[in-house]
Amino acid sequence: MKSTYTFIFLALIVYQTDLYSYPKILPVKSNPDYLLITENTLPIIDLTINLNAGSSHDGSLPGLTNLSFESISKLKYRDEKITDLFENIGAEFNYSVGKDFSTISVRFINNRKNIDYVPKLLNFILTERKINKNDLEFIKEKTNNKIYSQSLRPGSLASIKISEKFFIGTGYSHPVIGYKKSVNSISVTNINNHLEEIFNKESIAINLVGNINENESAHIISTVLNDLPKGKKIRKEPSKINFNGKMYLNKISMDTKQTHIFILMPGVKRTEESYYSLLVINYLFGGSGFGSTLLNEIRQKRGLAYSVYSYLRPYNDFGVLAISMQTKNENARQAINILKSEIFKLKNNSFINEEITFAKESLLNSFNIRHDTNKKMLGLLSQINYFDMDLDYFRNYENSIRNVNDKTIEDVLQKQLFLEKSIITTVGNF
Amino acid sequence: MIKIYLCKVIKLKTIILLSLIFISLEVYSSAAVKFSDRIEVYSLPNKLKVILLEDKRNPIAISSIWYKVGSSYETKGKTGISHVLEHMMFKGTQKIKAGEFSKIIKKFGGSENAFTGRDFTGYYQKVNKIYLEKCLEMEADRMANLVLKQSDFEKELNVVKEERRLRVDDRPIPKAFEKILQQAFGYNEYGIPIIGTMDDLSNLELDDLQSWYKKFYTPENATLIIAGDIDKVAVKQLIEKYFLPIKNKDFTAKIHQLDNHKTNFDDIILKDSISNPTILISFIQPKFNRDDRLEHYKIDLLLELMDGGSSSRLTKNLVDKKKVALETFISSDTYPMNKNIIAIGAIPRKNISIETLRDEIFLEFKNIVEKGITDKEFESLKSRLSSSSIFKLDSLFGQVMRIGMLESKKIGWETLDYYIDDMNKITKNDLIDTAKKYFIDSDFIFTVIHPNTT
Repeated sequence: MKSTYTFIFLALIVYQTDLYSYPKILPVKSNPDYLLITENTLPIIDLTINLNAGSSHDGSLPGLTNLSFESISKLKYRDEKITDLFENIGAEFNYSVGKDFSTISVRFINNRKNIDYVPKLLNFILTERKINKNDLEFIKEKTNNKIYSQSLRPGSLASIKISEKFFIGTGYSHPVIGYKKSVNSISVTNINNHLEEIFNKESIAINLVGNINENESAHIISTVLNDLPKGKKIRKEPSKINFNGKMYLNKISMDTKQTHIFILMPGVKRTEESYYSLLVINYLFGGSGFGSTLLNEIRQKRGLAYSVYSYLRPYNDFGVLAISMQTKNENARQAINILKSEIFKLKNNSFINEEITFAKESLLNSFNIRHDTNKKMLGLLSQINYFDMDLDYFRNYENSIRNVNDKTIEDVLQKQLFLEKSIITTVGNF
Repeated sequence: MIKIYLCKVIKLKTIILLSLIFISLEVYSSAAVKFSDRIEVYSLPNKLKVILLEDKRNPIAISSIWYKVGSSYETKGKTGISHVLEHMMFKGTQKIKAGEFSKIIKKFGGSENAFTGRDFTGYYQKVNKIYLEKCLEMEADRMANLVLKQSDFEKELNVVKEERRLRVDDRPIPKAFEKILQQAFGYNEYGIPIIGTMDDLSNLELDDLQSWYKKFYTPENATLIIAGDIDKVAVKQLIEKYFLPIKNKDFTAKIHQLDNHKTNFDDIILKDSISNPTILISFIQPKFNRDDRLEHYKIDLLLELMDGGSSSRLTKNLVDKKKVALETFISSDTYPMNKNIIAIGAIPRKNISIETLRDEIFLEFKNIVEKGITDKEFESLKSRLSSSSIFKLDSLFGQVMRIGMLESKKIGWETLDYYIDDMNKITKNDLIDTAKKYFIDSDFIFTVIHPNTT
């Protein structure tokens, strides 16, 4: 009898290990700003430099952070564009700017030459960046073209216009790329000063995933940061969502075949425990595709849209639940009414325990499947680093999901998800 | 028991690791990660082709099935039918009610989707390997027992029309591409829009779908690809259990008669909701022929040289040096099963005319012929390709897509194993000849999209 129990116990361990196997996050040389996940099956190294500044740090010059990062594409190292030097060794180099933080990322093959060379190029970007007036004029022209393009695309315009209303009075209200007027007013000095403020050791976190050990990582990190001033973290006052009105419709006309509908409502911050309850709510409401409430009501039952979904936007200062869909102009009013009705139904918490259990199981089972490449794992590691989450994040995630129940969901729906403060923005012709 | 299990995993991972490290040391030589080391191919007696691909990096498995049918098999009046049928494949069978398939995959924490191309329609599920059997059971079931209902069809047709509005009708560049392909090939093969025309979608009937399903969704017209951390022996038994009982229908892979369309090389001038004027120069690309694949790879390599990145010719010269373009881009397909187009696009900078920009693009091709290619840029080109072939292994799904696409196009997955060796046979002079043959001496369709406001 005893041996039978042992057998079952061991079998379960194998099963569980297999279903929920998590990689180990290592703080390089015990420094929590530099995180490593070693994954040795491919000779690839993925590296991301997180800079603690996004468009919400633009201050009085919307678009400043984005323009500053765009200037990297024109940097020259020994008369060659820095981007070309990455290409010459077959490396993939990218940068991106978000509302809260920005990233510089490189993917390269692990060999001795690259391990020495790539960090030197990155160090050059951080320490020797210089932009000239001509290059800035080109970047401005390109950015202005993008700004104009966005204003002609109904989905992009809806996203911009709803943010302006919803985040009014905060650094989150303007688009990451800024506005034509503000972009045109940005000078070389503005960019140099901004980069000077951002590029310091205190504002930088580095994440590595791939075929690399701790010592090699430490070598890369120290080369990247060589001669960089210690500096101080760029600061801004935490923002509060100032929109306190009732749900209302902000309608923008455009000559299109479809109307794009965008809804935002205040939610829960990423670092709060109740975020996991909201994760389950979002899964059931519109975050899990087929079977979710929104897809059932809008697409499956009525054929009103190809795509309808909800998702969580975890900003540093607050959390937001967003809903997005598109439908032909003639159906826009009907679709808005259904969305509003489903939002109000959500408040009544009609989720049954069976649904909650299903969502939790699905979220837990999907973890490995959603993070099955080095690139995806690096994205997650960046989030963990940015939000200063525990190094045992994977286990904590699992436990936090398991702890969600009908009471924690009820609590979020009644106290932390402000459905009545939703803004609806439409762009189209209805 | 645990020890044995762990040893197995470590051993297999180590093998992959060693082989890949070896590759990384020779990354600039002809080495490539051979799919043939990890692939097993066989057919069931009902002619279903099966490909098993081992990749032990994660405890996941992908089940995918590929049918050799897509928009290039369609005819005028019935365009979009392959794609509509793809949507209807989620509407249930005699055993599984509508939506149940997706619900089961969700419960597993898996992801699933489907896609329609010009030459294939595919379905996949990505799950923890312990759930693979259920995927196979359900996929086999809908290959044989799909139930098509009028009420589902009517709603789904509206969904597809919304998809068309989203992807094409409200987007200037995809709309322009539809016009260019139509002018190049008519309603034949790659001239047919994958999503179908709005008129044809409106006229489609349930019986059309039933016939399409009956004609193309048969074992002998399909390839099943199972990839990931799989036990090949066990998986083979499961495949036999679920797919072997499926009988072939009256499958005849006859391709319809093409009309006598002659490519019209007249300019296309459009106005649309676009920020800046945009030009597209479209050349005719020959269909891929495996025996003559170097000819196609030369085009690929030349296009990479012209616009593959920040150091490529068009960016370096037209954007950075001469400052005539705000940006440039190229749209092409390495493996077209039929004649296709290669489109070179660009947006002019302020005060630069579209004619000037067009002439500058051609001048870049002429400079290749007259002034040649430097060793440095040729080396950069090849190192990009070598690295990229390793980077692509990060995604199991990406590997499945490449294999499935080549199989469905009747080109064969083996082509992937020759790719880097083949590329290394190409010389700078080959690229010079290619520039002359396919771009300088060839006809093209010149398209301009003007902003509505000018």
